[in-house]
Amino acid sequence: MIKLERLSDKPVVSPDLSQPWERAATFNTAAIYDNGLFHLLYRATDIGCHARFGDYMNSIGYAVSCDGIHFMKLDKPVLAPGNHPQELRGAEDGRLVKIGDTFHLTYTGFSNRFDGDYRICMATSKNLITWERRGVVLDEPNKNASLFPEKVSGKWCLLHRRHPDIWIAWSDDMQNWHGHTKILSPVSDTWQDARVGIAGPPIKTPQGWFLMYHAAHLADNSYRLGAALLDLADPTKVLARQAEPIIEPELAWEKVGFVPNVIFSNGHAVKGNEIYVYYGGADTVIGVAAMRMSDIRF
Amino acid sequence: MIRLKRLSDKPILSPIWDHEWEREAVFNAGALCENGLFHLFYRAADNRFHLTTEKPEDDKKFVSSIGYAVSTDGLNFARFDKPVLIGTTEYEAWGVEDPRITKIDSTYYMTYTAFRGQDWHDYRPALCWSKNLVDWQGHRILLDEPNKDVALFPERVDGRYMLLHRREPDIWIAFSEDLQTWTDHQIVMRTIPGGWEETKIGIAGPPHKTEAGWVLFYHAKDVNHVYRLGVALLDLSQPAHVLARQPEPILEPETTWERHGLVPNVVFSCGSVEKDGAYFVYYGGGDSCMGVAAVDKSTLLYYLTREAK
Repeated sequence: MIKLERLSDKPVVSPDLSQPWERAATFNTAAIYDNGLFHLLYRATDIGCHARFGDYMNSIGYAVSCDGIHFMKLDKPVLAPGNHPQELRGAEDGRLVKIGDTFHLTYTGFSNRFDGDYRICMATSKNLITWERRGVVLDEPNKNASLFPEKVSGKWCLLHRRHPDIWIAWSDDMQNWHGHTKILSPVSDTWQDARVGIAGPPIKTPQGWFLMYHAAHLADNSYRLGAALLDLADPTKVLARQAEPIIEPELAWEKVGFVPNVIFSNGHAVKGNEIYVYYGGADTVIGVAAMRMSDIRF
Repeated sequence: MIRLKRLSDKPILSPIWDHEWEREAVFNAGALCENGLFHLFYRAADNRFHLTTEKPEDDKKFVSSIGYAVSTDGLNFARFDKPVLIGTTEYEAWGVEDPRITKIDSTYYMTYTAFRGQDWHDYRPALCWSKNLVDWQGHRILLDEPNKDVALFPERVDGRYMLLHRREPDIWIAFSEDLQTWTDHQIVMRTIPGGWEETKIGIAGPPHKTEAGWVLFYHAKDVNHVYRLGVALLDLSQPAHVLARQPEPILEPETTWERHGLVPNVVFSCGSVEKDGAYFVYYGGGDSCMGVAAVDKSTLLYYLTREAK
């Protein structure tokens, strides 16, 4: 059975009280291992990230580490809220892939001008710090999206979430997406019975695309991570799906926070055989847990 | 005459009291422009300097670390909350000071002053290297003698690395095939009595290659302990040969924060970058904060080459 093992019993990134934009929460983070470093692009909020706390503002901050556990953070966000019509309340939950020498970040642009005013957006960068916004990817209420890190059977491929399922779409130009296909759904009367959405980008392995995902539980709205395997040539085919979660809220800071009992991932860093999975704990802090590529067995 | 023009009349980096390691001073930054970003590696101090005791005293200890800041415009910087380099060796007991950054091929080199603090001259020039500007390895002593104000040239000449250094009170050069054994030490530039560069001189950052020669910014100290910046032009193939040296300083302490700080009346540079036809010279003001001043490259070369004739 695939299980993630925590690398630290404490959060590896926490809010900075002296920075208004990230004083309340630092959580759901994109991640990548590149050029010998672990990079995070994390979601940060000024107040608790739930409507009951008020109109929180989202930013994306940048943190970097040599060992994947000890991070240093930039004191200004790399994507700040406001100014962009689809990001009046900011960018949320980035997913990061590197294609050639260009980093592609898919994220949720949140404006809240009306119900369902969130869209999958994309930005690109050569250095992970200055980002060029590419605009809305899918003009529908949608989130939890990631590109595959390379073309699949000759086309760009996007994972996304039409509530409550995980979907795939295809494109020749990264602009027009078609062939929308549902691939993974909730499972009744289990830990994943409410809704599912991807974690970080799929990881290519000889057996198939290894996909970690999150799932919410109807009974208590708790979030866990699960794992599945998609066919290499046709990732709409789910080859395997583990019945048990690969990690669930256990530590105090995973159970208690602005949104309790949440482990939510949108990024991982692959260094050699090691997969470092970064996750938001209770929508408040960031933790890291790991597994090995060689542990991918269903 | 060449003069630097301040791009900001306020410091572009100041100490952050909440960060113990950079609580009292941020100054003397190595600089480079790379991959669409300006990068600064600045010296940070956790305590005020007590320089008047006979020897460094542990109860008045100040430790220097290297902080890292990035910017898209060269003026507005985002900073990391933790130092990118701290002292780790015995010789770095009082920290790491005054970094200069040089990229050679695909490797970044940081030359800096390792300070052990047994006495005021108990320092050595040291070297770290990195492929990504964040993970620095090495902490290797470059020259086993009290020496500072050291930087590598960005390329080899006749297969040899070249190092500018400072044996008081002058600027020296040395050569090496392996970055370890340094030979052929010789004086490049001497102090000049009776003026702003009377007491000692040392380089600012690594020199810039141009069609006319190596542009070298440097600092100079006078008998009143005022530090100013100057500029010279070195021969491309024989950089120990000075083609030109402007008699007047290009920047001197004028603003409040350059005239008053942990050490008063100081402008001191460890790095400059070439961007859009200009040199951005980063400098510490009063050993307490960072400023930036610039000069148009073609104007600078016009005056320097005229000087050379």
